[in-house]
This record gives sequence, structure tokens and C-alpha cells, in this order.
Amino acid sequence: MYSILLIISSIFAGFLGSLLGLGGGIIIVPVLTLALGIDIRYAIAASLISIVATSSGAAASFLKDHLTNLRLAVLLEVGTVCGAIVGFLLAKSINSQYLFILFGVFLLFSALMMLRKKEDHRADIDHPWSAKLKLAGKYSEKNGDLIHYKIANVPVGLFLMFLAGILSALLGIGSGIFKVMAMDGVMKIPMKVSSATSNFMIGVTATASAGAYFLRGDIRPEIACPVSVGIIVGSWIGARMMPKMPAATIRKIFVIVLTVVSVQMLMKGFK
Amino acid sequence: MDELESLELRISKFLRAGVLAAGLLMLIGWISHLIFKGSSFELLKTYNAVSIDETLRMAIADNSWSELIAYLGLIILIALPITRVFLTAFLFLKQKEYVLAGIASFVLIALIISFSLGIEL
Repeated sequence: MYSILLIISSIFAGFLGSLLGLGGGIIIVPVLTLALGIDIRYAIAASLISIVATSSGAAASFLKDHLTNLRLAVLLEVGTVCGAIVGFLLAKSINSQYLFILFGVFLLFSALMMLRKKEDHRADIDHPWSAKLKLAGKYSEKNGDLIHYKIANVPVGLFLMFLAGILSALLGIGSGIFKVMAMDGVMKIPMKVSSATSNFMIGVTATASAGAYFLRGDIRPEIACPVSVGIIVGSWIGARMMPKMPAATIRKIFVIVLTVVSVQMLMKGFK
Repeated sequence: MDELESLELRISKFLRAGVLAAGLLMLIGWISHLIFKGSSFELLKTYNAVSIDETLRMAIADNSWSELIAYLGLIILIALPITRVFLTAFLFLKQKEYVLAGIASFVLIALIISFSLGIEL
């Protein structure tokens, strides 16, 4: 019974995640812990594996859209992977009650971010690091317009990626919302490029801690296998159904759900 | 699409095939584990630290091939992004982009360090 519930929840998490442009982690960890009563450490480890699967599987489509900035992704992976190392070390010593609290706070933050109006920021001057590594790029809009963009505040962006890596390893999430916010808000990269580059990087960030959790024995196939398979199937369905779904309405409903789940996670943490 | 992007696209397509293979192994391993060994869900409600080394040794001793297939799927999955970083470093090197090749190699080394932290000494 539990196994059926687990695979159905994972398919749903993958479906909703791909529909809303979120990773499955933000949905599956609360489901595994609050609804199925699984220990949060196993839930986080299983979630990371599912992120590796979805991100690695989808990398080709991100590249095909010509939106991913490959050179920038490689540079920012330095920050996320180093952050993941620190996050794993912190997770080893942190009490699981604090993980619930931190997760609850992150869910609230994500809900707020989903309400934010998306508008592009543009950098007027290329940062010297960006100029040296030739990170500035271009992409085509649907109407054929070629958009050239420069990249600002590279060191600050790198530091924020380090923080995103810590969160990813601690909470079993891809921390895509945080990465996009750093690239779009601080580095002034167009939103479409930020989202594609963030999605492309997520797999490597999650692998850094997933590998460590795996060798420590926290990735249990009884959970990780159905969760990964379910999320792969769910996100595949989600991507195909996206044009037919009222994504904006689902988004608004999801903000409320996210807030309720966040309160529940916080309550569990403070118990 | 420039040469670097088209080569990276080929790597990504290879990764997609890898994810499918890993997913298939995980599915076979999980279903056969459920059929032959039943659900072990209750054990996962409380955290119990058992290293991968010990788990695999027990699975081999018990002849639990379903568990071993599932673990093989997990290993393939974790190996995929590392392979991607390695190949990206190689691509940059081939294109004489030495700084970016160095950065990608640094990411690769950081990944290996991160993995080693999971081994309890």
C-alpha cells in the first residue's frame, strides 16, 4: 500500500514540478516526511537522487533551446559544488528538527518568490571576470529579435551559488528558485537564460551531495528508486500537458498549498 | 549553434540514454524487491546509519540480486553528471580554453572530495 502511495505521490510531484518550473524536491520531501512518516534524512537523500535523474535527463532539451550559457554554468558550478560540500558537512551534525524548520522557512520563501513579478534586468557593463572568460552571450526571442546580454556582479553571484549549494545538500532540493534569483536579480542575466542555465546546473549540484549521501548509506533503494522513477514519469507527463493546463491558476493555488505545508513543516520542527 | 554547444548537446543526449538505463534498472530492482522481499517501509521511519559498504556486503551474502540491481541503477545515475563535467573539461581543453578547462577540472575534483566525505573512516 505504502509503495503504491509512494509512486503515485512521486508522479504527482514530478508532474506539478514540471508544470510550475520547480524541482520535485520541494514537493516530495514534505510528502515523504509529513504524509508517509519517513525520516527526513532518508527523504532528503532520495529527493537528491530524483533531482540528478530529472536534471541529467532534461539537459539536452535545455541546450537545444539555445538559452543555456554553458561557460557561465561551468563557472557557477564551482560555487554550488563547494556549497554542497559545506551543506553535507552541516547536515551530518544538524538535528533533524532544525531541518524541518529550515525547510519550512525555505517553502515560505519559495511561495513569496512565486508571487514575484518576472521582469528582465539588463547589465550595462560587463564584469571584468565575465569579459576575461567571455561569459556574455546572446539568444533569440520568439519574434526573431537577437538579444545580447552582459553579466554583472560575478563574484557576488558566485557567493550566492555557494549558498544555493549549501541549501541543496541540507534540504535535498535543487534550489533552482535561489539560483534564478541570483542570476536574474544580482548578475542581471535575462530571466530565460537564468532559468535554463540554473536547470542545467542543478544535476551537478545535487550529485555533489547525493554521492556523499550514497556512500554514507542514506540513499535507500526502497525510497530512492520509486521516487526517481515516479518523478521522471511525472515530469515527462507535465512537460507534455503544460500547453493545455491553466498554469497561472495552478501557480496561485500552489502558493497557498506551499504556505500551508510550510506551516506544517515548521510545526513539526518546533514540536 | 557553435561547436562547443553541439558537442555538449551530444553529451546531453548520451546522459538522457544513461538516465533511461538507470531508471529501468531501478524500476526492475525495486519491483523485484517488493515481490520477493516485501515492503521494508517501517524500517525507514527512524534513521539508522548503515554504510553502503556494509549494505552491499549484506546484499551479496543474502544473494539479494534485486537490491544489487537497484544499487547498480543508483550508481549509474550518480556517475552521469560526473561524466558530463569530465567531458566538458575535455571539450574546453580541446578548444584551447585553458582557464575554463581548469575551472571544470576544479569542479570535478570538488565532486570527488565531496563523495569522499560520505565515507566514514
